[in-house]
Amino acid sequence: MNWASIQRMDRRIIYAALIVVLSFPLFKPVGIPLVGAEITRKAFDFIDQLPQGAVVVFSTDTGVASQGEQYPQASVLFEQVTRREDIKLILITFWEQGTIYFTDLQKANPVLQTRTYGEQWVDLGYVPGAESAMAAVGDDFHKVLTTDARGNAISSLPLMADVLTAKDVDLLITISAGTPGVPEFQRQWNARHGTPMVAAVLSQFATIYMPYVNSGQLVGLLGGLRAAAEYEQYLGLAGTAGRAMDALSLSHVMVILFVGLANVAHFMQRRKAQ
Amino acid sequence: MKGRELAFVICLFVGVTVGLSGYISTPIINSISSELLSWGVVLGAFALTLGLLNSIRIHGGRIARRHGTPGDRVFSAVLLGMMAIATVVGLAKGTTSDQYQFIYKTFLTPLDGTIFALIAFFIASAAWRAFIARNSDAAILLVTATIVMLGRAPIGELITRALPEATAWIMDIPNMAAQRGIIIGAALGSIALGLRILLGIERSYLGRG
Amino acid sequence: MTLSTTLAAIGTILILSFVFRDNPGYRLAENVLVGVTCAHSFVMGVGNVQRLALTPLLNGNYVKAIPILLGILLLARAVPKFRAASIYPMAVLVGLGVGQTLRGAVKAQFLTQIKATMLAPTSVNNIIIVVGTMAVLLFFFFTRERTGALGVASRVGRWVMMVAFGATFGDSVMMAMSLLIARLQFIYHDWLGLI
Repeated sequence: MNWASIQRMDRRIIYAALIVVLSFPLFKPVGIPLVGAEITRKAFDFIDQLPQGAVVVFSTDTGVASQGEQYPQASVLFEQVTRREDIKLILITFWEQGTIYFTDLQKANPVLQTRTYGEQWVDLGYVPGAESAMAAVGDDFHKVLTTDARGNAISSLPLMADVLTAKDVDLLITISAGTPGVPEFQRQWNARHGTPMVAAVLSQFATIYMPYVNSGQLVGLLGGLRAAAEYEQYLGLAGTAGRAMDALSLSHVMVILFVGLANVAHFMQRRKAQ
Repeated sequence: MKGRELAFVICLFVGVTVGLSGYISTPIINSISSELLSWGVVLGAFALTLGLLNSIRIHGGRIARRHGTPGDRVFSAVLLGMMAIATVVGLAKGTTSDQYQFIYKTFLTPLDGTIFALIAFFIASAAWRAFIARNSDAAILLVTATIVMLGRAPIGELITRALPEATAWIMDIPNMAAQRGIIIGAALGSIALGLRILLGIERSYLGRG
Repeated sequence: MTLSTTLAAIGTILILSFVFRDNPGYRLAENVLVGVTCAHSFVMGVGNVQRLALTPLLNGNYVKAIPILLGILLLARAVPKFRAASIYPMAVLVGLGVGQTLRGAVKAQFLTQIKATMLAPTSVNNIIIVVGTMAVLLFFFFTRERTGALGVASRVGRWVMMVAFGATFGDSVMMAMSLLIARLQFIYHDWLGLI
């Protein structure tokens, strides 16, 4: 076997093969069953067991570049939280593209239009300033934000009458793609005010935030598209995340095969040289 | 007092006040700290406008001074044109208007998402060419990555239940231990840097004096 | 298949064409993206300057004049001749960053994490966590030569970190593939209606 030519294969063939491998299961899904991860289940159970009238801050701290993984996560968490009419929802974001998620979520799931704005939910919009903004809002919602995203004075919103600092928040849900995100919220909300947190993050950040789950600083963690697919199962939904799992499986097998073949080719070449 | 000295005093006052608010809770410190943090919010808002101003300076300058190739200038014109359209629509109609939603749904969301998705191709290419287990460290990394990739994908559960269980163990135990060490080390580093800035040892943020 | 979806799909394909070869179609899509991204940031910035600074100022909160002035000085960074004026707002931003770190990192990323590592050696997992965390911390100890016990601990720390990096790489592959799958789902489902 000519291992050298295998190693030097035109990368465009690899790219084309990747597109074919990912596309095939989208047309012909197999539907391999999923088993849920404990950290995802913890998030679901915590939200499910929130006390009557709990105040939940829903923060989409992410950009549209990450929508492939994060929009399905935002979608399932939004669905779960809005299934309970008693939960008081505060929408906020610390990324300038986060508001785009609010618009898309509400279009796909217009349940908030049936709820009383100002009493059952409020939209505080985008607050610039990264960690300073998180710290400022957490210390005093009313000092930093005199108006909500619609221009209403927040002092006029009944929901906000009892929400002065992050201590008054029963759960913070953050859909987080980077900085500012989980560590910043940990420093300014969880450590300072004791606010419980659930985070939905890109897959590669799930490994990095495991210490926060282990120490109890995060009560639950959704890592990537797979976690969104598990959540769809818990909620009884047939969503885009679940439909992508077969393609994900094949893509992982493909990468492993490539790595395996490359290593075999490398060591065969080395043996030949010796 | 010279400019750099004044800037350092400002930094010292802001840093000490906000830092102290985490340990000493008095009305005056909380009030000043809260006010200073709200200034950070306002500065953040101003900082957002810098991207557009810089783009105008660079791409407008390229067109005006005829730098680069004609093709470069055409693309700069396209960039400035789209920027102008989106800015006018956003300011005039608002970001929740149908017109602005058309712009971000047609251009911002799909193009930004696709740029990020290009990583998949480069990972596939790197898997073919670069991920060689040349030493024991690389071998540990690749074996772990293989277990995690199989454990994360539903197909891993079909092969054997041990794969997702091994993945969960890797994430909860050795990975968690390493990431904790990194988090503690990084926290020590950032606290040390913060103290260096407050003590005036680190002044690079003041620029060349 | 609406106009918006079709234009979005064309843009997606132009961006994807980059992996085969850099071409004018990709550069066109790239410049459109950069233009719209800058515009979005600017629009959000202007809206928030108005909401968080100008409106409170006009309503009698005159202290807001200070951050507004600092913000204008910050904009001087865009003009090389006046860049020096931006050291004052930069000093405020750096001070805020330092203050936030000192008040939050000590508990969130230091004390709580250390407390969570104080585990009784009642199981293999607990021992791995304690030894692994300490070994990784000792790996970053560069002020002494890595011989003897420090050398052993440093090597163990490196192995533990390799496991973590392998896990991160595995998850990074999942992230990248998920993002590409989402774009393919958009093309096949939202645009072409094939799935």
